[in-house]
Amino acid sequence: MKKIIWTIIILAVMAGAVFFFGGEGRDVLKNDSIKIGAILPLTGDLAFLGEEIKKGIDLAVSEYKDKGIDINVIYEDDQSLSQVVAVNAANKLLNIDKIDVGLTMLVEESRSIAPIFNKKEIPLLLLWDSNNFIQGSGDYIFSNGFSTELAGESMADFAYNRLKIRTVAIIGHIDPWADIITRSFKDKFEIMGAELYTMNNLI
Amino acid sequence: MQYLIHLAILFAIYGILGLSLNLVVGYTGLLSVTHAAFYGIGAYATAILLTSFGVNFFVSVLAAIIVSAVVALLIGLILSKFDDDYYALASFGFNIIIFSVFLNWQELTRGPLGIPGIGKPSFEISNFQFLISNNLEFLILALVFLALIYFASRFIVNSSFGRILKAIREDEKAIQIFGYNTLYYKLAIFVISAAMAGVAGSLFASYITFIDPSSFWLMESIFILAIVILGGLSNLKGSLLGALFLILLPEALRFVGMPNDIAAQMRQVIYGLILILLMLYRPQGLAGEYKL
Repeated sequence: MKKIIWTIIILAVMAGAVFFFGGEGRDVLKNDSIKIGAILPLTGDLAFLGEEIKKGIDLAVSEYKDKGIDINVIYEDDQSLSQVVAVNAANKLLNIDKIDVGLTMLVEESRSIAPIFNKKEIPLLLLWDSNNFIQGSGDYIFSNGFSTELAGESMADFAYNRLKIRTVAIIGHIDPWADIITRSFKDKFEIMGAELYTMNNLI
Repeated sequence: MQYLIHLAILFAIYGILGLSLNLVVGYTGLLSVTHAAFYGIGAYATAILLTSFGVNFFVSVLAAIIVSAVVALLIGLILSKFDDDYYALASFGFNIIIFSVFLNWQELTRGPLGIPGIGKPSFEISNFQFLISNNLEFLILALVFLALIYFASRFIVNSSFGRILKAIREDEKAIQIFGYNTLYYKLAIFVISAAMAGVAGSLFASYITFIDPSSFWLMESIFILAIVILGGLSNLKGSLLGALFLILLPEALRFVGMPNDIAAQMRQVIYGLILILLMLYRPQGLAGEYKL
């Protein structure tokens, strides 16, 4: 019985911490500042990219601060593309921190959080890449990255017209970005009349 | 409030996973590390049926249960040839195989691209159609499923079938001498557990509205196992406590003020430290009756 009481006390303290420190409507930041929530891979395999993007955001924010524009960024880690962690972070930023705009790095990260931002009618901006998914993911989802499909087609065009290559073997990586760029390269290359010798994927 | 509702939904989903795995690991003593595979099968069954065939969510849950159970039966037949550490390693292998199927059977699962736009549950009674459109309604649905799974698990562990499972855990040879075919019992509870995980997968797919193979990797199996061990082996309430603890802890840590540059890394270190301390001082888990 004593153990269960202790367990309940610990859980109550944790729940209280979430509720007290993160109660809805709490002003985490100053009211007159622009609040940006950035969901980035700050730990895990892609942390080296997330950290660099974070430095870039910090640099841009300091430049705006010099101009007298107050921007506050709240960073949340998605542990390198964990869907559940990203959704948790999005819910926290939208419902507790009440951000004005969200940032994230990859299309892969945005797939599970885009519907949440759309529903809340808060813009979400992707910083790294873009693809057809973004076009169909709602009015509040944007990207300033290169189109992955166009990149694949450009590669095919370059290989066929500039390098005069007529047969290729594709060895691709198994991830969403590689999958899209491989398909768009292959489709364009075959339409132009070239031959695909073989296609294999590696993990 | 929306944030707490979201966390409560995750608690319900992981609660189902914890309860179902506890039947295998806690009550039967089989160290299975393949639960994320059945969770994924349930999620994919619902995602495919909802997006490609427009099937009702509740029908898709039924399909998820059947598919998870059939796959579990096949896997369980092979796993039954192993014991102890070898069982854990073999189950580990099956998680890798199923993950590989999710990743490479692109015609069915869309591979690494995943399946977006999975619909929310809806039901129709005569001319009245009800669509679960907000998180509070989804929470009620998830809690109903959690309650059903909890009472089903309680019924199993309190039945004579459940007592035999505990006897298998304590001394399998002894129970075999009494004429029980332990293979049948181990296989049955493995299939039941997988079917329950399939329900959790269906809820996950419909709630997040997007799934891809990364959500069902080995780490997810280890996380579910951590829920069971931390909550307490062979205790159903322990599984719920474990799920609550492991869902709330990282979220509570988000609110611990730390410098931006090291916050994400420090949170993971603190999270790990708390788990280590808990295992040092409560090796049987928060409410456990049995130690591995």
